[in-house]
Formats: sequence, C-alpha cells, structure tokens
Amino acid sequence: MDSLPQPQNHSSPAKILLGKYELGRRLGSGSFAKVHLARSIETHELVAIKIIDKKRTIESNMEPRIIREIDAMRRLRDHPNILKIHEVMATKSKIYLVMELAVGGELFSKLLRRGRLPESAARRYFQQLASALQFSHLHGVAHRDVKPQNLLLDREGNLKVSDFGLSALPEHLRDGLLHTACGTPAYTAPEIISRRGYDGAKADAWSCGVILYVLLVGYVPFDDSNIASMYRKIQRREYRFPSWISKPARSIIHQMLDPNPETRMSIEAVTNTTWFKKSLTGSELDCNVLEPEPVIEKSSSITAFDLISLSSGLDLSGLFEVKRKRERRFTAKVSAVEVEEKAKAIGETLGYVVKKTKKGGEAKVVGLGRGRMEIVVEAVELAVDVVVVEVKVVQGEEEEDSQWSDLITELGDIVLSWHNDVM
Amino acid sequence: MLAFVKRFSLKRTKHPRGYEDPQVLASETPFTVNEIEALHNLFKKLSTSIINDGLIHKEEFLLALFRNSSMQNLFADRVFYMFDRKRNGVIEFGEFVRSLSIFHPHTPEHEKSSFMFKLYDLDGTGFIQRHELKKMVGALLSETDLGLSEESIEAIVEQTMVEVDTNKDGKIDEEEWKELVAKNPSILKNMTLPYLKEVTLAFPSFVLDSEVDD
Repeated sequence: MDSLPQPQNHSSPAKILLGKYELGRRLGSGSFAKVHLARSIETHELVAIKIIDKKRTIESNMEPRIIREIDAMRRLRDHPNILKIHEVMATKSKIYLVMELAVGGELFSKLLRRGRLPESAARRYFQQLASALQFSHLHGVAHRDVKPQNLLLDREGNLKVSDFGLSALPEHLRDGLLHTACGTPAYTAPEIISRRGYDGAKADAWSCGVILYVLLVGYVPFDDSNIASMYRKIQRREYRFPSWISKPARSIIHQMLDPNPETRMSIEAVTNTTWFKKSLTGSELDCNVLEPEPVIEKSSSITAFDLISLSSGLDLSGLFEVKRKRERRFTAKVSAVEVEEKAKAIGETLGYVVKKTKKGGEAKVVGLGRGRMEIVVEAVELAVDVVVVEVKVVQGEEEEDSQWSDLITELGDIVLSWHNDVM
Repeated sequence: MLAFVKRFSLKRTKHPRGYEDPQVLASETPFTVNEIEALHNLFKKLSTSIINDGLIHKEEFLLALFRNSSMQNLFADRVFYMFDRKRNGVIEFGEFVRSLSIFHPHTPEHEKSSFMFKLYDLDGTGFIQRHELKKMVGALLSETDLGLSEESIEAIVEQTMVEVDTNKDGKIDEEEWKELVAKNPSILKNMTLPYLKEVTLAFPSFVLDSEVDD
C-alpha cells in the first residue's frame, strides 16, 4: 500500500523535490496548480503536493490568495474532517503545498457510481461536513467554495474537506461582509452570485444544503446553463423532492436553501436538529478525547532547576506567536490534591468533560474538554506548602474567549497569587 | 520603467549586516533552506520592531517575549546573551538561526543540555555555583510572586546542592548536570520548540521570494 506507483516511463528517474519528496503521478490539475502524488523520503509517508507556478500567479495577482490559503489551512489543522497541510516549500519559480493524501478520492465519484446514497450514509457525510465547517467558522475562516470536488475521502471513508483557497479570513473582511464573487454556480449561494456583500458562514450553509440534496437525490437542485434563469429558480425555490426523501430531511434542505441569508438556517442550527443528531455516536460529537500525556518517570525529587525552568524568560514560544497565549500560572493557597478537586468541580459546573490524567511524580493533572476546547490543569508541589498550578489550553486555543475567562474566574478562590502576566 | 524595476529588485536582494546565505545555514543546522527563508521572515519582523536595522536588539527581544521592551528578567537576559554568540550586543540573522537550531525537536539532547548548562553558568566559570543557583531561584521567585522566605530559598538551594553536587565540591559541574538531566529530562523542556517544525506554515510569505533554484 505504501509503495509509489511506478512511473509509466521507466527510463526517466523519479523526480525528487528539494531532496525531500519523490514525485509520483498527477492526481489532478486546475488553472493555477496541479496536484501530484508524492512520498516523503524521510518517513515514506504518501502525501499530495499541490504545485503552483509562480509566473502565472503573479500575472493574475493570486499571491495574496495563496498566502491566505496556507494561513487558513494552518489554522484548521486540528479537525479530523479537514485536509491537513504538512508544510510549504518553494523555489524561484514554484510553490509546493505538501498536504495529507485523501486516498479515497472524491466523494462524488462514489456518488456517481452509486447514483445516490441511503439517508444514513448521506447523514454521516453531512455530519462530518457540518462539523468541519462549524470548526472553520469558529476559527474565523469561511470556506466559500464548498462543492463536490472539494469533498474527499480518506482510507476509512471519512470526509476530508479540502481547498480553502477561496476562503477569506477575518482580517480581510470589509464592513463585516465579503465582496469577491467566487464559488461554483450550482453550489453557490444566491447572494454571492448577485455580488451582494455576504456573510461567509451563511453562504457555506447554503452550499451545505445543496450538498445534502445531491447526496440524497443524486443530482443538483438547481441546474441551468443560464445563470440568470438559475438565479430566478433559486429565488422562487424551484426544485422538487423525489418521493424517497424523508420529511425531516426535506425540512432541513428547505430551510438551508432559503434565498434570504438572514432567515436561512445556520450550520449551527442544523447540528441541533433531531435528524442531524440521529445515529451520531458520542465519539463523533466529542471527537477530541483527551489523550493521556506520556507518563514521565520522575525518580528524582524536585530541585531548584524545576523551579527555575518555570521562568517565562526561558519560554521562547512567544517569539513565534502572534496570537495571545491561553496559559496562566499561579501559586495556590491549597494543596495539590485540593487543586485537583477544585479543578474537577469547576469543570463539572462549567459543563466540561473531566478527565484525570495520570502523570508520574507529584504532579496532579486534570484534563477538561468541552466542544473542541481542551484545557489541562496541572498542580505541582514545588516545596513544602508551595503549590504551583499551570492552566493551559492545549487545543482549540482560538475559540471562545468567554469559556477561558470563566474558568480563570472560577479558579480565583484557590489562587494565592497569579504569576507575572507576560501578556 | 524597466530600468527602475531592475534597480528596485536589485535593492530588494541587498541584505543587511549579519545576513547569511540560507544555503550555508541549512548545511549547518537541521533546517531546510525554505525553513531558513521562513525564519528570515520572522527575523525581519523581530529585528525591525524598534530599531529598523536588521539586527535584534535586547529591547526588541524583550518586546517579542513579554510584549514589553523594558521587562527585567534575568533568564531572558541570559537567553539573549547566549544567542549573541559574537557578544556584540545584538543578534544577527546567522546567530538567530544557529541558536534556534538547538531548540529544534530533532537536535540531540546533549546539545540542548550543554546550552542550558552554559545559560545557567551565570559567571561563565564552567560551573553552576551555589550563589548562582541562589540568584536564579531568587529571580524566579520575584518573577512569580511565590512569597517564599529567605529560609525557604536557602532550603531549596541546599536540597538541590545535596542532590546534584555528588562530588561535594560545592558547585555543579557539567558531568553532574548531565546526570541530573538524565534523571529528570523535564528540566530541559524549555529547550525544545515544536514550532520550529512548522515555520514554513507560520511564515508562509517566503514562498513569494524564495531563492532556491528549481
């Protein structure tokens, strides 16, 4: 499975990219880029590499878009249903985006073979799509180009949303609304086609509605080679449901294909419907199970060096971070065990899933998870009656400010003093 | 017009004092040429935040670490001193890359350990002496507001010396330090920055003016 298919022409040696990747066959191509299969020389992992010709991007002013795509993909690396970017490489004439390989190919080639999907299968893909888009919206990225070609599958048949190339980030929002017309007509929200300013998350909700329709029905709801007449059909909600579509599914599609973005059902709202939640297992709802940290055997007791290593002056991660760090430290008034109890109690009050994480030595560690946010509270008794507690977000750090500040407020009771706020 | 464009692009490739060829730096560190180009983007940002001369001054370093250019912090001072290999009071690009390379996840632990030992050897005597340890514990305590008494500091230092100074000569030599690190590797945790594996994603604009040959 891990061998790179041999090139057709055996006389030409495999091309090696920048000493790191062995280039394989072409997987696809677009107007500015082509995608190749490749294998890492170091790890032998198979990847997909998007190769962009710089000359053509400069000619068409695509450069900011490429940087934006990279930035968007980096922010969204933690979601299981979003295609991951591994690294970026460049030469004088080319840009290479090294990405996770979705070995299952496009979801829609599967659909083409099968015609349409049973409701339970369609729902599963829809759940994964909604989860991916919700995550990206939380991180301030709207996809804006949700269409069949961008929905890929991995080896296990899980959805991987790709190509955030058209996505816009908050810093590029003008008047809170996006103004570039983009997207693919059959899947594009009417407010984009009519070039009105629009809310990216609502536009994504529209595309989601179209995708759900296509998964269940087997063809697009609005189809017309003439944009004006298609636009008219959209405004009049001119589409039909075949008899096999269930009532709740119809209702969801109807509400998502609302031409008015103001009244259109949001992705958030869809995820709260009974139809959506059906057969959603706990692990899918809460796919960020806290991984226990590797147990560090501490055979020696705590020394002055453990204490010194707490200095913020030794933590160089600040050099790399533009965003605020969700990490605070304090000296507790109570024992490490009491800190642990308190952290658990607060976690329960604030609706977190509480996990006690085992770790060697004296440290008491509590993991708290809610939605995609994961927080670790670690208490160490550094000296007699000196308990230092570190609270940090280990995942989902760009989310909900209030979630973080609520937790910090609740901890207040056991704080003797907060350490130097470096922010 | 063309002449103007040419002159402009020539100017763009002129590099400031202390700049080094990414190829050379890549051959000496775990970084690829692209990663060094990405680090140069970060360096440009840091080195122009206060004084626009392409060198990282102490104030700029403190500003990046603490969002405060006049922060007093013994350890940040020590890190700056260690990065400033030429000891001329500023961090040049080559120094920045070579020093950061020690923090790379792939760098062997003994290099990290030795860097940290030198950092803690405040007087540069080749030993971490008792008074240096005491000074560092004191600095950390004033930073964190732990409110420990003079006696408790003394007790922590004493306990550490008893445990680490195995030959009982009153100071910690590099061998004793290595033994401590072997027993308790977590004291080197500051020496690894996972970010260094993703610098191409964090500073992607290098792709636009990469000078790597095709």
